[in-house]
Amino acid sequence: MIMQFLLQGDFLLTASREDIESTLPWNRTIRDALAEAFLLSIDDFNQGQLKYVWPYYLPSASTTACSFLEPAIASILAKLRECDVLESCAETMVKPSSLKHVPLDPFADGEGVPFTLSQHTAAGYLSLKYPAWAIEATSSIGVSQLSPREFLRDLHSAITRDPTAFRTKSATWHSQLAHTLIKLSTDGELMSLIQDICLIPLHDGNWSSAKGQLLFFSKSETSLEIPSGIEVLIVDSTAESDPNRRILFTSLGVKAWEAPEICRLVLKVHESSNFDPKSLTVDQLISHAAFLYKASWQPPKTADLWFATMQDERCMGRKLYIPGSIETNSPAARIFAQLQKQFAVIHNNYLKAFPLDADWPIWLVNNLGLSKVPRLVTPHVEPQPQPIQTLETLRDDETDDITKSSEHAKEPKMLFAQGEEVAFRRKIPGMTDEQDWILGRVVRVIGDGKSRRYEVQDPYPDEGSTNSRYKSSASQMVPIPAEGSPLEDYEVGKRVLALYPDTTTFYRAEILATSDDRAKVQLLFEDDVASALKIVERRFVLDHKEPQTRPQSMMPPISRNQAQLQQQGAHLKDGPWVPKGVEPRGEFFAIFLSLICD
Amino acid sequence: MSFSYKPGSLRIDCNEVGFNAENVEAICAISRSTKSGKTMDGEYIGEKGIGFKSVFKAADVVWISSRDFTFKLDKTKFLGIVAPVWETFPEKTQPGCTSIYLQLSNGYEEDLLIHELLTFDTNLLIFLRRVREINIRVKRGDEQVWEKKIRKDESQQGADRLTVLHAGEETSRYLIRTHVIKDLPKERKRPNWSQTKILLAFPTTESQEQPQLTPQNVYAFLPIRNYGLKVTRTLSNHCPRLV
Repeated sequence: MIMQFLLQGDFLLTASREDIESTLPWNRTIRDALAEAFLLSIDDFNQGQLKYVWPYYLPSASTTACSFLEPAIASILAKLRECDVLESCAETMVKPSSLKHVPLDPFADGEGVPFTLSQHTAAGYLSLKYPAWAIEATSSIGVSQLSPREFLRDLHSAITRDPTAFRTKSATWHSQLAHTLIKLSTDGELMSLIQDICLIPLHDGNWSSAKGQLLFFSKSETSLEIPSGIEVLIVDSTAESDPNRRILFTSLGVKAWEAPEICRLVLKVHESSNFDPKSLTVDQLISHAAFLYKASWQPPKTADLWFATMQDERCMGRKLYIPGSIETNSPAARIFAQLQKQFAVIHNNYLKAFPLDADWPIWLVNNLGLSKVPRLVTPHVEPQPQPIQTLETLRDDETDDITKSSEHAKEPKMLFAQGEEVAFRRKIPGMTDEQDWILGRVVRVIGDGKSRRYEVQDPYPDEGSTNSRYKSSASQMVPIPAEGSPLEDYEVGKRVLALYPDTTTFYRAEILATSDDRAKVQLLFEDDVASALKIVERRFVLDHKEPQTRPQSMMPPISRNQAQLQQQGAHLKDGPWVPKGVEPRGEFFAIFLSLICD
Repeated sequence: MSFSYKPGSLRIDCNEVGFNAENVEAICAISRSTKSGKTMDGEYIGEKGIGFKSVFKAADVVWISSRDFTFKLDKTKFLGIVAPVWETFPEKTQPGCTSIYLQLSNGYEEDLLIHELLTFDTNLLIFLRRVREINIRVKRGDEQVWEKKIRKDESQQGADRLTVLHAGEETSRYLIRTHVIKDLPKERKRPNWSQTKILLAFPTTESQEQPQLTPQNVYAFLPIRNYGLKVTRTLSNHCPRLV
């Protein structure tokens, strides 16, 4: 038996004078008084300087001889268990059995304060004022040592109860905690507990636990940065730069990401059914495509990414157009400027992402299915000039008096109201060619009677065009029935003026069928290949007789300039479709648009 | 008080009051200790019946010099341990001191005595009420003399006593608490005692450092027990009595 204090008493000895006579009532009385004397001493100590020292004096049972004193020691220990003799971290005096001793190594920070000390745990933790050498003996009166499991439980609940307190601790503190958790994490069972704790700071300011999460370090060996807007948890870069925390996060499963992994994630996000591309900004979407490109990733053949369009709409890559290299002000540029009103065209900023990299648009086309327009082909046109008709038409236009046309004069004058949707032909100063019928809206009615004129707005003006409003007259306008108004079916084979799908331009077409609900019409547009059938909403299919002066053939009209070109030896090659209004000038191209079939 | 050993002898000097005639008579008689029944209030004295004669376990001849008395007791002579022979002390004596000189027996294992002296438990001094200072000198052959001085300072701290022990460079402090025991059972060896007391000595330090306690006790243990100095292990429940 080891006692940490000395005892002197008038014990009576055996005849050999080397041992206490254990059966004597006298000796037993003295022995029993020992317990009382010790307990009284502790009461005194708790009032004075030895308050935090006295546990050091606690006798501990051991196998050593002197069994005579054992009952006294047992009695001392038993009684102390039930008395409020120890101080808690909350500075209350409590029963030893209700206290946990927190081993400072490893459960306390560098200043000796337990990581888990809070107002909720203080009453259950043995006061920190007890020196380590005094605490040792408290186990004999019921103080138990905080186990790693309990530590993690306390840590978990402390963080859950007051996340702010935890998150605002110093970097040093977090580093020290990580150091402790690293040690614990070598035990599989404890590891699982640590994974449940929300202790990983993310770069977006949130915190996460490790369990079931795909977490990445923000920095990687590559120079790439993970684009924003994809649901991947990235660890806060400051936190991960601390060696201890980094080791901890690594052991919790945080990975240094590799580009292909992120690429797959980007794609997964985009292809998920509940992904709302509008929730991302143009820059975010650009960063996604740019990331895949920079990572030199080879997406699967079916990969389809969301893009931002020129109009800040969202469009899947496989329905998107991207301009080829075109000179400013070239006819191609102008046609493209016109096209992007009608088609989903990639947002300008995409090209600015890598302004000097010619491979970037090519990569988009090859890997993400974008269509490059205009597609440039060698011009070739059958030599079949039609100068007379053209000139006639020109003359008509030049007179600036549409009513002079005999055909137009026969038609009863139509009246249009402000706000009405119409198909109309623009009259552009200096342009003598007949313009396309395009979609417009009456924004102003000028005058009345015979001189009634209109101002019609082009909702998708050419890029760079200062003017989006055109003066027009009824003869240059065709009414578009309002949505929902009852409409008659067209005969099959009738020639109509119809809005070409995904554009704002009307072209001649032939009726092939009407849908059962009469809402849609199937058409073959003039100059489309015979198999290229289009479905158009009924109200955009207009009954409008084409001027008899126009050729009925499928051949595109050849303008005066084209005729000149022909004279210079250029040949326009047959394309399936040549948009009207194109005015190749200086360059010998016809433009072939490969349109999307819905 | 001092113990001085040199091969073949142990000398003990003490500055106590000294012997009177009665003491001399008692020291020579069997079972006639002057201690018996002397106190009944729980003060400590030696155990009745164990006394001076135990020195003849180790020594053949014992010289004593106290006040005016100078005599020897010689175990080798007939009735030598009860019949003092007036004879001059073998060495120089100091005035005011009682000196005892043991001529150790031939068969006595002096190494054990040396060990005992070298490892003398400083803590024994705590409960030796009248002893303030103990000096121990050991001279073996031609070696240098080994010396140890132990000093005790006592002061009162409230109801408790603070004892500071100085042993060489080391200092140890004890808080001594006294607990009085009443309602004692009848005991033949302690007739008519109404109370006794136990002392608890708690090691302390001036600052909050860990008190040092155990090492000395380990050494103090067995040898003392084996050689009749009545100290039980870490419990010094009995004072050594040499007189």
